[in-house]
Order: sequence, then C-alpha cells, then structure tokens
Amino acid sequence: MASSSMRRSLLAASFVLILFFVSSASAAAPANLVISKVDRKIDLVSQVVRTTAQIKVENKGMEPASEVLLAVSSEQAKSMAYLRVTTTEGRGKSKAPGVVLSVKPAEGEGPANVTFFSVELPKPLGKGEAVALDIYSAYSHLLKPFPVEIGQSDVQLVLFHDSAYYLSPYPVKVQTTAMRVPSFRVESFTKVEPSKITDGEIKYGPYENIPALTYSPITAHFENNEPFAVVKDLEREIEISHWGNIYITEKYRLTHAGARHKGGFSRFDYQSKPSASGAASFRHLLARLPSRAHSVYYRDEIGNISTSHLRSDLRKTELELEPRYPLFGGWQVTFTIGYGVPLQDFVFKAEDGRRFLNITFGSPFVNVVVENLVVKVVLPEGSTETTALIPFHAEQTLKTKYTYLDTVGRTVIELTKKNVIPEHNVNFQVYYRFNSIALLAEPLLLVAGFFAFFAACIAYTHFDFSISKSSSSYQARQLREEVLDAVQRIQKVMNERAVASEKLEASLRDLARTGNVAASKAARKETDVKLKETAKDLKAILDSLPASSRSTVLAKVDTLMQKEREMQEKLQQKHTITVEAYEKKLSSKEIDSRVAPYQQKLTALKQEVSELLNLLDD
Amino acid sequence: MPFIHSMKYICCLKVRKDERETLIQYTFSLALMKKFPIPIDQSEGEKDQTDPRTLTSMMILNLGLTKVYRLVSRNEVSRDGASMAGGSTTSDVRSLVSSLRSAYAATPVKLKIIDLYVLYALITAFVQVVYMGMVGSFPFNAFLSGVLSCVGTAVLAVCLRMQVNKENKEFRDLPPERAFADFLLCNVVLHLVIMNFLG
Amino acid sequence: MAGRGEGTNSGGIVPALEGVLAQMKAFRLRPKQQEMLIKVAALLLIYVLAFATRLFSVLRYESVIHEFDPYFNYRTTLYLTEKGFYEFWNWFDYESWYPVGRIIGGTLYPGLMVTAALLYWFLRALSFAVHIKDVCVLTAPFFASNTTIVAYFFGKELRDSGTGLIAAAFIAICPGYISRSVAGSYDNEGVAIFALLLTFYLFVKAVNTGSLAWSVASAFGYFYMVSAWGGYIFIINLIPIYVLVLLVTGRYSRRLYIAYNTLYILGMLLAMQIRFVGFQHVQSGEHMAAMGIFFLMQVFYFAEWVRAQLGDPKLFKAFLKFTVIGAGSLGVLALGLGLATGYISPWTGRFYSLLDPTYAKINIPIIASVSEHQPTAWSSFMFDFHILLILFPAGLYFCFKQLSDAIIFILCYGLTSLYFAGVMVRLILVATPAVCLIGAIAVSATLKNLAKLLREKKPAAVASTTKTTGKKKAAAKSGYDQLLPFQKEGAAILLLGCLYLLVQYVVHCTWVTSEAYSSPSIVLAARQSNGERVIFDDFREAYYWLRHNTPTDAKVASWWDYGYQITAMANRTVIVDNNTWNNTHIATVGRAMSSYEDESYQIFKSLDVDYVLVVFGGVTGYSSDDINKFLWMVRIGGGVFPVIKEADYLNNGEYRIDKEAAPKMLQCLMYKLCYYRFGELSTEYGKPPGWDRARGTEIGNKHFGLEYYEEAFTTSNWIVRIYKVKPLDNRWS
Repeated sequence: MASSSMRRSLLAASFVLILFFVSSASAAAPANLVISKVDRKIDLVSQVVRTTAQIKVENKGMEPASEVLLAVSSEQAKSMAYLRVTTTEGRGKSKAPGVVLSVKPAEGEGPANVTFFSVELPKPLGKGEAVALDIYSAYSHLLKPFPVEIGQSDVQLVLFHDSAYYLSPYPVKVQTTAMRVPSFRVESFTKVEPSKITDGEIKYGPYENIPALTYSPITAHFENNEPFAVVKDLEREIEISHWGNIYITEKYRLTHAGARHKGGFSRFDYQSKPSASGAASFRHLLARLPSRAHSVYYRDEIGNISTSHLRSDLRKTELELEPRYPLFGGWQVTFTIGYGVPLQDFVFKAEDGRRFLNITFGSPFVNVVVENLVVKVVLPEGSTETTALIPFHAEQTLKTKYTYLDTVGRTVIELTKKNVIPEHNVNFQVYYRFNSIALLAEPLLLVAGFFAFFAACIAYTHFDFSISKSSSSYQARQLREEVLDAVQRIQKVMNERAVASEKLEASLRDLARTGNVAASKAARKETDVKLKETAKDLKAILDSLPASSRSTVLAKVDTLMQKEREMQEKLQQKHTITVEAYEKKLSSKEIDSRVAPYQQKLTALKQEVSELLNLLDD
Repeated sequence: MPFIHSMKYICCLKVRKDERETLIQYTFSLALMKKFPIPIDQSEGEKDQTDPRTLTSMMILNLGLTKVYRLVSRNEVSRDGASMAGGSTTSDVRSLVSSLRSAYAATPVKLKIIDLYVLYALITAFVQVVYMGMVGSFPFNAFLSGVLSCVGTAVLAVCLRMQVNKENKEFRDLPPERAFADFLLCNVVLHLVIMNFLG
Repeated sequence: MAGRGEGTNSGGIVPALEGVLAQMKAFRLRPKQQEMLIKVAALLLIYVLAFATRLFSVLRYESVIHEFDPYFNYRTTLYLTEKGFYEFWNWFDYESWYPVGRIIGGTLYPGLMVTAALLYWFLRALSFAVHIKDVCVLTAPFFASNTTIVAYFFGKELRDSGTGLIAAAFIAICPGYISRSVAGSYDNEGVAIFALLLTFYLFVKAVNTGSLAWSVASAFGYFYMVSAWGGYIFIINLIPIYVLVLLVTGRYSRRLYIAYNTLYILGMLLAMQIRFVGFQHVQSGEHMAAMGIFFLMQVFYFAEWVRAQLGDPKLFKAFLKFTVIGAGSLGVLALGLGLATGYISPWTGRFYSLLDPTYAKINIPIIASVSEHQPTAWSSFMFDFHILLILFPAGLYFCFKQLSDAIIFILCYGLTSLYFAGVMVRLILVATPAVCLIGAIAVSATLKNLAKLLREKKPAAVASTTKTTGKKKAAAKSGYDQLLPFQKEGAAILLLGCLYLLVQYVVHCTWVTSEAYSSPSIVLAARQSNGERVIFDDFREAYYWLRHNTPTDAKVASWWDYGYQITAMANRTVIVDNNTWNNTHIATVGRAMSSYEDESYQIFKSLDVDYVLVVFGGVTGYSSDDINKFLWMVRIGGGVFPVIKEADYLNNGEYRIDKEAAPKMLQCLMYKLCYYRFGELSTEYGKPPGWDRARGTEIGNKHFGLEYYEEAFTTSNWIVRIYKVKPLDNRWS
C-alpha cells in the first residue's frame, strides 16, 4: 500500500516534469535531428543496471550535424558508471563491429535535472542522412531496496525508477523498452499502455511520435536476491619484481548494500533451514584470477582465514572465498587477498626499448561494485620514464615506496577511480624504463653488509683494547702469546725436517728397488743442506723465545730437539750404511741385518718425537 | 606525645654521666633520629591513622631501646669478665682506637684519599637523612635519589679501594687503571640514573 | 691451559662431535683451533635449533598470536610503534575496565613491548618491510635462542665449556621453557627467562672476577628483568639468600662485596625507573631481604677491614661485640619502625600464596581460578623435564663434589626454584634453566669420565710420558681402574646408554613441542572420525563480527578471560579483562552472569553494556567454555556479593546441567545465554536434541525465550555467542 501511494505521487510529479521538459526542449538541442527508431533493453538482473539503446538518428535539417546529444535524467547520471556509444555500419544481422565514439558531457544548455552527453560523430551527418548508434550504459546504485529493512527470513525487494519513454533531446518516432527482472515475482510496475509482463520481462511500447524530452516516470518493484556486494574501498597493489614475479595484493572493505538486516541473527535458523532464512544474504564470493596465479593467500587484520577454495585449470584460476561470517544487509567485512603471477605473462618489451606492464584494472571478483578503487603499480627500484595508459579517465599520482632493502625507493604510480563496475575490468598499460643491472643492487648491498661485519670482527680480534700496557697480567698474556707463536714456528720447522727425512727414506727405498746409488747420494746431500738450514732456523727461534718462559717451555723444546736430532743422525747413519752396502754389493739380507738395530732405534725415536710434538700443543 | 617520650629518654640519658655510656647515648641518639620523622611524616599522611600508628611505633621503639640498653649493659658485664685478664675496658677501647690509628697511618695516601671521599659521601647521606627526619620526605624520589647517590658513591668508592689496594691478593691481575675505568663507568651510570630519577 | 685441555675432552661430549674429534688425531691441525671451530659450530646449530623447534605452531596453523595475555601485549606494542614512546608511557586506556579505565603506562612491565618495538624499528631501519605482528610472533623464539647462548656461558662459568654446550642444548629444547616461548606466545616470560638467566650469569661472573664492570652489567640485566616481568622478585630475593649462604659458610670475599653492592644499588635505582615498580624496593616487604643483606655486607666489610688493620684477635673480638650488637639492634629497630609506620608494606597475597600453596585457595579465588596457578602435578614435572628430573639429583651430587661460589649459586637457584615450581605450575618455567644447568653438569661430568676412560692408552705409555697435572691425575685414576676387567667396554656401554638417554630426551621434547605446546588456543583444531583435520576459527569469527558490525563505542561484557582478546581483535570496550586488578568489578560481572535474567539486566544496564559474549562448547565439545568456568564466576561473585551462594547452583554438592540440576542453575543468565535455542538443535546422531557434547548430557531446560536479550550473532560452530542487551524502552513491547 505504501508503494502504491508513492507511485501516485510520482505520477503527479511526472506531468509537471513533462510540461517542464517541453517548455525547455527548444533550448536543449538543434531541432533538426530526429530519432526514427529506439529499442531499449534494461537489464535488472544483477545489482548493476545495464541499458542498451539502439537508436537511429536522422538529419532532417539543412546544415550537417557533427554531434548527437544524449539525455540522462540527473539522478541516473549521478550513478552512471559506464557509457559507451558505438556506431553500427551495415544493416540488420550483418553488423560490422562498431567504432567507439568519443563521448563527453555537454555543458551549458538544458534543464537542471537532465544531464546531456554529446557524441562526436565519425563524419558529420549530412542532410537526410541517418546513423545508427548503440548506446550502452551501466548504473551502479540505481536499485533501491524497499522495504529498506528486512528480517532474517524475508526476501529482498527493490524499486527501479525510469521513464517509459526514451529520454532524448530529439523527438522519437517509434520506440520500445524491455526490462529483464531476475525473478517472476514482480510486486508491481507502472502501466503505461501498451505495456505487459511476460516471463521475467516487462515490455513497454511500442510508442510513436513522442516529443523531445518527454518523461513519464515508471516504477518496477520486484524481488532481487542477487548479492548486493559493494566494495567500499579497494586498494590493489601490483608490485613488479624483475626476479620473475608480479605480486598483487588487494585490500577490500566489503559491505552488503542491499536491504538492511533487522533484528537478531539466529544461527539455528540459518543452519537448519537455509532456504527460508537469509535469502538476501550472501556468504561466497568468486574471483577469477589469472590462469597462472600462484601463492594465493586470504587474510585480514587478525590473521589467516581458512574458508576459501582455489580451483585452477589451464585457462583460469578461480578463487572462491567465504568471509568469516555471512553478510546480511548492512553488515561489512574487510579482508586482503594476495597472489603472484609470472612476470613474462604481463610485462613485455615495447618498441622504444622500454618495458610495459599490461594487466587488468578492476577487481577480479565477478559482479561486485567498487566505490573507490586505488590501483598502485610499484615499479622496480631504479625505473624511469614512467607513463600509464588507461582506456578511461582516472586520476594519476606518483609516489615512492620503500620496501625490502631499498635505498632510493620505488616509483609508485597510483591510479584512483570511483564507482568501478565489471565493465571497467579491461587491461591498462604502464610503461617504464628499467635496467636489469639494477637487480644486483640489493644482493650487493647484503654482501657489503656482511663484509663490513666480518671486517669489524677481524679488526676487533687484531687490535688490543686493554687499558694499561704496564700491568703484570697484561704482560703475562703478551708473553704467553709470544711463546705460543714461537712454539708454532718450531713445530713448523720440525715438520719440514720430518719431510726432509721422509725424502731420505724414500731415496733408500728407491735404492732397494733400483740399485741407483748416485740418486740416493744426491738425495742425501740435499737433505743434509735442508737439515742444516732448518737447524739454523730452530736456533734463531730458540733465541727469540722470551727469557722468562725458557724455564717452562724450553725444557720440552730441548728434549724434543735432541730426540729429533738423534733421530736424524740415526737415519743418516742408516743411510750411509745402506749406501755403502750397496756400493759393496752386499746381499740384501746382510744389509737388513746391519740396518736392523738402527731401524729399531729409529722407530722408537720417531714415536717419542711425535708424542713430544703432541705435548707441545697443550 | 612522642616528644614527651623522647624527652623522657633524653633526661634518663642525662642522669647517667658515666663515660662508658657514650655508646648507649650514641645508639639512643640514632634511635631518636630515626624516631622523629614518624609523627611528622604521618601528619601529612592520612590523618585518621596517625594516632594508632605512632602509638605502635612508640611501643616498638621503647622495646627496641630497652633491648639495646639491656644488651649493651649485659655485654659490659661480660666484657668486665673478659677484661679480668686484659686490664680495664676503657683501656681496652683506648688501645683499640690507638692501634687502629697506628695501623691506619701505614695505609698509602691513595687509599686515604679514597677513604676521605667515602667518609664525605656518608656524611652527606647522613645529613640528608637528618634533614628528611626534620622536614619530611615529601618528594620521596628526590630524597631517595639524594641519599642513594651518596650511598652508591660511597659503595663504589669502597669497591675501588678494594681493587686498587695492593694487599688484596685476589685482585692482583686486575690493573688499577682498569679498576678506575670501571669505577668511572659505574659512576656515570649511577649519576645518569639519579638525574633521571630526580624528576 | 688445563681448562683448555678439559675443553678438548668435553668437546667429545656432544655426540655429534666425536667423529670430528677422531679426525683431529688424523689431521695435524692445532687442537685449540679445532676446538674453537667445533664449539662455535655446535653453538650455532643449537641457536638455530632453539629457534626452529619453536616454529611448529606457525607451520601447523599460521603466524598468529596465541592465548590471552599476549593479545594485550600485542595491542600495546602496536600502540607503541604507532604512537611513539611518550604516548605509550602515559596512555590512559578507555577501552578496558569500563567505566574505570586503566593507566596502561603505569600498570604494565614495558620490557617486552619496548623490545619488540626496538626490533621492529631496527629491521625497518635496515629497510626490511616486516609487519609488527610477525616481529611479535617471533620475539619469544628469538629470545629463546639468545637464552641458549647465555646458558652456554653460564655453564662455562660454572664448570667448563662442555657443560656450557650441554646446558645450551638442554635449554634449547626443554619443554618447560618451550611451553612459554613458542612462536606466537608473545608473553613477558618469553624475554624474562632470558633476562633472568643473563642477570644470574653476569652476577656469577661478577662474583668470580670481582670486577665492577661485570657488576654493572648484571645491574643492567636486572633492570631489563624488572622491566620485563614481575618475577624479578625472585632475583631480588634469591641473590640475598645466596649471599647469606656464602656469609654463613664463611665464603665472604671482597669480590662478593663488590658484586652484590653494585648490583643492589645500581639495580635498585634502575628498577625504580619503571613506574609499575616505583618505590617498592624501599617500601614493600618483598624487597626488604635485599636491603638487610646490603647493610649486613657493610657491617661485614667494616669488621673485615678493622680485623685486617689490627692483627690482635682479642681486640677485634671486643670490637666485634659492639659493631654486631649495634648494627643488629639498629636493623631490628629500623624494620620494626618501617613496618609499624607503614613505610614498609606487608607481603602481598600472591607472595604468600607462593610460600604457602593453600593460601590462595582460601583467600584469593581469582588467583586460584587460574589453572596455571595450581600446584604442580608430578606428571607435569615429568612432562616438562623428562630425564632432567633424574639428572638433577646427580647434578647436585657433582656440584657438592667440587663446591665453588658459582656452584653454590646454581645450587641455591636450583633448590629454591624447584620448590616454587612445585607450588605453581607456571613457575616450572623459572626452574627450567637451573634444572637444565645442573643436569648439564651431571651429564658432562659422567660423559667426561667415560670418555677419559675410553681414551686411555695402555698404562705403560701413561707412566712413561710426563704430562700436565690434570692428566697425571687422570692417569693415576685409570691406573686404579685398570684393575677392574673390561672397564673400557663397560665405559663404552655406559657411554652408549647416556647417548641413548639424550636421544630419548630429544625425541620426547620434539613430541611434546609439536603435540602439546604448539596450538594457539585462539584457533581450535579437531580430528574428524575420518581422520581429517577440521579447524574451528569461531573466536576470530565472533571478534571480527564485533569489530565491523557493532557501533565503535559498544561495550562488551564477557568473563575476564576474553577481555584482552576482545579489546585487541574486536577493538571494542570491555568491562573486565585479564589484568585482574579490580576484584569487585570482576565479581560484578560474575554476579550478573550467575543471577536471573532481570537482575542481570539491571546490572548490565548500570554498567551500560551493549553486548554480552559467552563461550559455549556444547556443540563442538570444547570443554573449557563458560559453563565449565561458571562455578568460579559464582565463587568470585559470591566472594564480594553474598547474594550469590554457591550452594544454589549445586544439586546436593554436584554441579550439573541436566534435569537434576539446581533450579537456579537452569534459570541463571549464563545458562540461558549458552543454551538459548540449543534445545532444538540435535548435535549428535542417536542422541536427543539439546545434547551437550562438552558435558555429555542432555540439558535440563530446553525451551525458554529471552526477555531482555537478543541473539545478535552466533558463530558457525556455536562456540561464541553474542547477545545484544535490549534498550530500555522496548522492554514491554
């Protein structure tokens, strides 16, 4: 009953409107254009209202017209999200794909509650010529829920207001209008004869010879339980990393823009009879991600949300996610989704040597309306000459962002657009010049950091930070270091000597195999030389040993050295004897028997020496 | 009424003019010095509770004083017993003091300076406590930081004294320069904190 | 040098390193370098292990803050990082304890938050774009790793580097410590244990070296501890006890004097900078022991000095009489005065309940109601310490075999903390480092002896070579041991046995960590009958709903357990929360929950509550829900408001919710809010509708309406139910 009363008032208002329009029509547009035919389809199935009007404009006047005006009632113009006008060449079925014409708001003339857009025609319309235009427009917040508040078990009814006649600054000869509504349940609709309703479609017209700017308001009141998912704010951040990935992060603030939820929420009803309760609410959202999207996550301020499913095949990746709770009218929720896509799918080389990113603009969710969309393209550090190409108007600003290991910061192109609908989900391009060498900056930074750290450590160990050089303890420490150092050197020399004696032994073995005496003698000589040198070194080191420590260390060293010398002597004796023996051509047995005693001593000495060396370590 | 008590004690002190009682007097005066703050401090606290608290405090004070007195007197007796062998106690005390003085004369000048420093710090702390006793400890953090800075300085100085003292074998391999550096470090910390805490 | 030698032996203790040691003989590399290398490598491994083993929860679930208190810490840290330090320091929080509010800056230990914030800022300065939440989640593991390093040095200070390594390895994976330091449990204890051990280590170091620098370092450690956790009381009482023990056992040394006094004076001053602690060091009874010991030390020092001055013992005795009596009586006097005039506050209830386990039960139901304040059961000791429990006495034996100042300290620490661990479950945490260290001493000692036996050459060689004294002893010992047959084999077997035990320990720790201690009680996981894992995320569902679908100034009443989570996650004002400082307030909520609907309505209206939140496990079988906590609400409420009597809710001493339940139980608010429309729901197959799976009974009162409340939201598994308190005007509509 409420609705009917409202309709009456609207009708009353409408007559006023008509008069008003007619009076002002002359001012509105050059009268010499006439629309011969209009058929208009209004799609009310989803929350977005989409109208397609195919009109045929004829020029009845003398002078050619270069532009055509379109009229939209102001409250529709406010919520108009998208408008595209194409010409269609050719006749009937064989329509060539139309060329998109440029549309700009026509300023100035006309009454306040009508907004005009002027369409630039490809070629001026001569006398008597006609052109066919397809006008496609989409409106986001046009369906008004009525009643405004519903309980958990109610369905959602919406109102749609429009004019029965196609609103145009030119007289219209013939026109029809068809509204598609989502369900058979239509509470009411204004009748402007001839008008009828057939399954899910409300038909108006045909009407003939309607003067310009005639507005007869009609209202449709019908059920629409489609999710009225409206994203209040969406921030998409597209971060390009030339290591091979593009990371996309999207922060959503989602709300249910339908009829407000009234009264309590009973989980019992919601679970036990899902059909009857919460018809207007929704709990799933579907996002179509690029086919090779990977590492998808879904979280919010307080952590990860586990209720989401990812289905992916070769062509597409679908992410179906559930907010933490079902959304009833007026409830809202925030969340963040993120995913990565391979670089080579979206970044290409341009002719001029620059690179360009080519990726979709809007949100990947199917039929959501985004009120404020901010797209940030984070270019890699050190990229220059950035420009962005977008097929429709959006504000651009440049920023800088600092993230992992950034020094100069990254250029961020920020694109802002209001009232975005799926139609805006087209590709846009960002051009920039980037040198691959800059990739190495960050690893190098790390390397430098570590290098500095280690250098600091080395410096710390090599410098001497003690305050007083005079104190006894300090001197003692110094002394000990010196001694250790000396001992190390001694061991080094000892090793050298050992090596030398090894050589000697080896020569003996050769001798045993090949009776080559000369070679072994030569070996003998060089070892002797070697031993002499090393002996000198040892002497030097021993002298260099600090006086105070002699008592402790010297004893060991001395024992070591004398044993060692003894060993060497034995070895040499053994050597001489064997060599002589060979020279005398003695039998191998005899040689062995002669050598045997030395051999035993030798082994014993060797062991002791080695033990002593070990001992020197601690 | 606490004042009457204290008066009583003081006169009962004055009566006994024995030279031995210096110690007792000392103890008492200390006790009194501790006693004064109570009524003052309470008067600017919650009024209602002043009386019972002071009463209890007085009682405990009496207890404590009498206890001290008894103890001291008893050990006088015992000391008399002990001093049968080693002369009279006065001479005992004298010899103690004299021997202390003589022994102290031997300490190197460095240490003496440090001792002076410590003494100075302690006196300052003592003065502050007395002042608090008379005026009351209103900005409590100020009072605390004042006293604690003095005490802290004294303690640190004592530590330094230990470390630089040649006789202390356990610090042989700790060079005096190092000790002094540590001392400075501690003092810096101490006084920075104090400054922050003064409010 | 000898120490180094032992080091080489002890290197062999860590089983993984034995092979390397064997190679050491083969290579002609200098043993000290080898040893250094091995030690560093082992420490690094332990460091990483300690961090990694605490990441189970992150891998199982996600990087999320656990439990209840951590959410408050997280919230304050967030505030600190956003608003800066001064804002944080004098922050008055209107969102908690409505209508009272809470002075955050003055009523919390800022150590944790400041630490996390500093880490965060540091990372940011290095231009790492980390989120503060992740920093908070990983703070505890990070500090656990640092604790292992401290444990190493402590062990080295106690005995030798081998002990240090073992101690580090033990503490890295000890469940008793892991329970409070897994990733996400962002609680004070996480850093506090590090601070505790650090303080102790530095103090022991100071006592051993007698250098002022170490003392001041320990003072700073103490400061950090004070800023991090209320448990600093333990330090400020343990160290005096230790000093006293040393004095009594005649181990007084100048080193001790320096260490203690510097620590006390500087530590006290530093601690006073924390507003929450304030003047307690000079005023509260808990801190008086330290002060007494401080004066005692002065007296001692003076006496020492005088005795050093005058060699004559008789004179000294005479002098001693004066000083001791004078000082003693003065001390008594001062204490008496302090207590009488109320300068010195008497001990608090919590402190009493520490000394006497039964105290809390009788006097402070709030403390008793918290499960982690219950006396510890043996099982949980075994659970948290495993073999350390057996190694502890052995370690004590080895400690007593070679007493030193440091060893005495660890003894005091171990014994006292073990007592407290017995008193309260949560204090197992404090005992853990001590137990680990003492256990490490035991293990290293045994293994070292065994390893020595294994390494022996044949006696002839031993006799012939002249070695350093330590080794000579070893040689002599082995000389005796030579008498027994198969001693080498026996040693080998024993060694293997020890290694087996250690391996068992590792296995146990890993199991405990992954099974018991890595679940963030905010997300519940359950296994279905078909074995697959279901996750109940209801808490966050409810909190998030509150956050986005209630007016921003809405006030939510719930039992205090959930207060912190609500303020942190739902960002709404709560009536009471986990900082249980105001008993009356909590009792009011308890009373409202346990009274009839209309009375409760009055109470909630007087607190102008908009939403009431209850936690209910009847559908999922989540057992720690409000119905099971309800008796505590009744008790706490009844403690303040005698109107509430526990007996009314019990059916002859039995707490039940089915038909035999007490009538008031079936009518009280908590029951109604939990079971509203639950009677129509059938939860389990073959059971009547209204079957409570947590209690395993059919509820007594099924069909009832709510007059003053309206179901605003219930989570998908019914775990959290939120009710709107109806506005006054439409009460009769």
